[in-house]
Order: sequence, then C-alpha cells, then structure tokens
Amino acid sequence: MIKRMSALIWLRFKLFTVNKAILFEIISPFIFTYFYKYLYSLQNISTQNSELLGFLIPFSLSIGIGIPIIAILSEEREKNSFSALMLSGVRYFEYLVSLIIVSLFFSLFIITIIPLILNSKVSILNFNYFFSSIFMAISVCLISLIAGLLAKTQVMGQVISLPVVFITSFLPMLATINNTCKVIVNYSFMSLFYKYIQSLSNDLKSLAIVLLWIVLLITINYLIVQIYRKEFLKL
Amino acid sequence: MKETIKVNNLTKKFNNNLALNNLTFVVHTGEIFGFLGPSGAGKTTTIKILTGQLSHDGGDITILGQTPNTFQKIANQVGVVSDTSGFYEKLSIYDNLFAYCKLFSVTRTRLNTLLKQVNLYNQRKTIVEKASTGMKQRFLLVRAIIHQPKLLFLDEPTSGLDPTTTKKIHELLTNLKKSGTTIFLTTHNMYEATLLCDHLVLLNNGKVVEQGTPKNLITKYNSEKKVTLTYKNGTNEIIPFIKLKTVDDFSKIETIHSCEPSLNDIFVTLTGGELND
Repeated sequence: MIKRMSALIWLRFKLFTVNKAILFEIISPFIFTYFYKYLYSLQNISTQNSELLGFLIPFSLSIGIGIPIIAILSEEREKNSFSALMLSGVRYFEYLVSLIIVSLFFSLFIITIIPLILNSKVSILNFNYFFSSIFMAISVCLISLIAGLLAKTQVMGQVISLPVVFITSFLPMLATINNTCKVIVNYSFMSLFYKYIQSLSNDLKSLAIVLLWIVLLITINYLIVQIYRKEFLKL
Repeated sequence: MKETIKVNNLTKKFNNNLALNNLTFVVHTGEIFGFLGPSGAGKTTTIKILTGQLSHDGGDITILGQTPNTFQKIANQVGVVSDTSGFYEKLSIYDNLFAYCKLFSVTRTRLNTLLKQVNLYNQRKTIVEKASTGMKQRFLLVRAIIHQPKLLFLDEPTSGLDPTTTKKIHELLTNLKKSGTTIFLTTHNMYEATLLCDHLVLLNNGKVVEQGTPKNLITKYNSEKKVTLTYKNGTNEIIPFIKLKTVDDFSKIETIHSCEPSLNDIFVTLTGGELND
C-alpha cells in the first residue's frame, strides 16, 4: 500500500505541475490576490484586516485545488487512465487519498502565502487560523472529489466545478451583506473559518459543524465509490 | 498442463442482447492463446469480464486461481493492453512508465531495457499526446509487461501499426512466451494468429464456433486437398491434389504448392463472414 501511495502521490505532483492549465489554476489565486491588493491600494484601503482574507482564502482554495481535483478526476475517467490504475492494483482509497494529500500540500501554500501578500495580521503561525483554514481545505477537497467522481467527462467536470467554485467563493462575501447567506455560511463547511475571520477565534459549535460536514462528505464519497464498485468497475 | 484461465459457460447480456453465449475455453500456462473474431464478436467484452471491469450474467471463471470479483488480488501478476488502457497525455512516455515502475517497485534499469527493446528509448521524453499510434502501442505494451506479469491480455495489439512495428511486437511477444508469460491475444489478423498462437478460439456473435491449435484447425478443414500450380507463363491454377497425376506436361510448371485453407477460409466456412469484417 505504501509503495502504491507514494507512486500515486508522485504521479499527482507530476500532473499538478506538468499540466499548464492546472498549474495556472494553482497559481491564479496568488495573481488574484495581488490584483485585489492593487485595487484596495487604489482606494487607500488596508488589506491587513481579515475581511479580504475571509473572501480570498475560500475563493483561492476552490480555484487552486477544487478545480484541479475535478479536472484530474474527470480527465482520468474520460481518458481511461483511471481504469489503467485500477487494473494495476490501485485501490479507490489510495486513488482518492493520494489526491487529497497532494491538494492539501498546495492548500498549505495558499493559506500561508496569501496572508503574506496581503500583509495580513493573520499568519499561518496563528494556530486558530491554520486550524480553521485547513479544515476548510479538507472540505473543499472532499466536495471536489464528489464532483470529480460524478463527472464522467472533462466537459461535465467543468460544468460541475462551476457551482462548487461559486458557492465556496461568493457565499462568504454575500454573508457580509445578506443575513440568509450569513446563516447558511454559519452552518456550512466554512463555518469555522468564517467565525475565525469575524472574531479571530474558534468556537466549539463551528468546529462541530465542520467536523459533521467532513463526516458527511466522506460518507458521500464512500457511497459513490460503492456504487462504482457495483456498476462500473468490480474491484 | 496447468490452467491459467478457465472459463465455463460464460454469458453476458447487454439489455436483452446476448453478447456472450456460453463461452467455454481454457488457457494453459505459458501459451499464446488467440481469441479470434470479427469486430463486435465479443472479444473485448470477454477481456473486460476476465479483468473484472464488467460483470457477467452467467458461468464460472477462474483466472490465476481467483475470480474476476477478486481480480485486485492478482492485479500485480496481470498486464493489460486494451481500449481501456489509458495514459496521461500531458506527461512524457518515460514519466508515464516511471509512475508504474514506482507502483510495482520496478527499477529504472528494467524500464530502460524494455524501452530499448521496443525502440522507444530515444523517444522516451516525447509527450504522449504528441506520440504516434505505433509509439503509443509500444509504450502501452511496455507498461503492461513492466512488472513481468504471469498473464498478459492483449486486445488487438498490432491494430493500425506498420509492418516494422508489428514485427517488433511479435518478437517481443515470442520472447515473453519463452520467459513463461501466458498471453491472451485477441486479434482479427489471421496471419498474426497463425504465426504466434499455440491455441485458438474462433468467436462469432458471442459464440465459440471452433477451437484448437492452428495446425489442427487447418488440417481439420483441409478435407479437399488442393495444390496451386504456377506456370512458367505466370498464370496460376488451383486443382485438387488427386488430379496432379493427370497433368500432361510438367515442363510448363514453375512451382507446385500445397493449398491449405487459411484461418480466414475456415472462419468463412464456419460463419459465412470474413474475420476482418
């Protein structure tokens, strides 16, 4: 299992870095961050406060890791590289977990570098920030895995990734101006991060909500895999 | 002789269409087993069932002591080249293969040796999406044999390839057989089957219509023995062997060849259709 996991992780790193489109998706959050910083500077608004970060981190995670996960999974399904891996003895668990590991590695870059670009008061050294953002990154990974597993073609993957990006990116922004959106965010997988951005601390209720979301998303992933085991590939 | 694959009354339906109808055959260890039939006969479906990619509706299958449902247990002993053998188009040939080296704990030395054997070593850095059909086919073959599998499934491995590449693949398959690998080869190329296979199954409309060694099949269907006479003026004539003694003037004849039926002739006799339809 360890050798298969290391092989898959190596393969994922290659795919993330060799494919120019995916590489651009990983880099684009940093470009957007610089762009926002520039826009804020034009209006002499400080980027040090956490509000901009509260919008940019979910947006960056959905663009930087959500879309690549969906793109890779849908491409592997469409081009049969998924079947080839399965025929070589790779298990679903290894297949999906390897993708999560590599995505979380890139997430670390996002949650570390974006506050630095914004000269934010918040940094990766702040445990509460790290904790809440990494939980959100895990949730984004799991949602993207679901979307990627459901997409049988790359075109379908692109279509499915749109709502994932929109919800993750714009819900925190809308929550600042709309109470309904605020309630939705408070009970979403972004709850912990959103609470942190508002109060710069974590609370147990939000943590429980996020953990429930993670359990739910893992269960959905598991069920999809079980369906595929029965109907698509008997492995 | 040890059995690597045993299939008994295999049946598969797609909706109400019977794709495989009570297939029964045995693949012995170390042989090249030819699975012949026209397009749509059920060759690829059979491979997919044997490798656990499709479920079957009836019959018993044993493959390296496992059933297709437990294929994962023997996946590291099996290599597959088929239409489901995907690859990463944006990666180089070498990177694609190196991922599988890591998967099976195979050394770079073996990978390089195999690449040299199929004349891909100098093109190993080519991005797969830019590789030719022949290069892709050779690359897939290398990937399938990289871990020295006991059993190799090849679905039309030389389809669409030039004669030189085809010859190289035939040589490689012969060497693999010598090293003890059992090869399950589907093809509609009769020449290839006659050249390589130890045992053949002829499939038509999901049914086994005949099976045996190429030699036995040809002998069996060579009931009306004929010879081809090639005259010095360049014309040919096929006559029954028994009429050879009635030929008046042998001095006009350049060559006399026995005229056995080809596998295609046998297939036409059995089904009324061409193998490569």
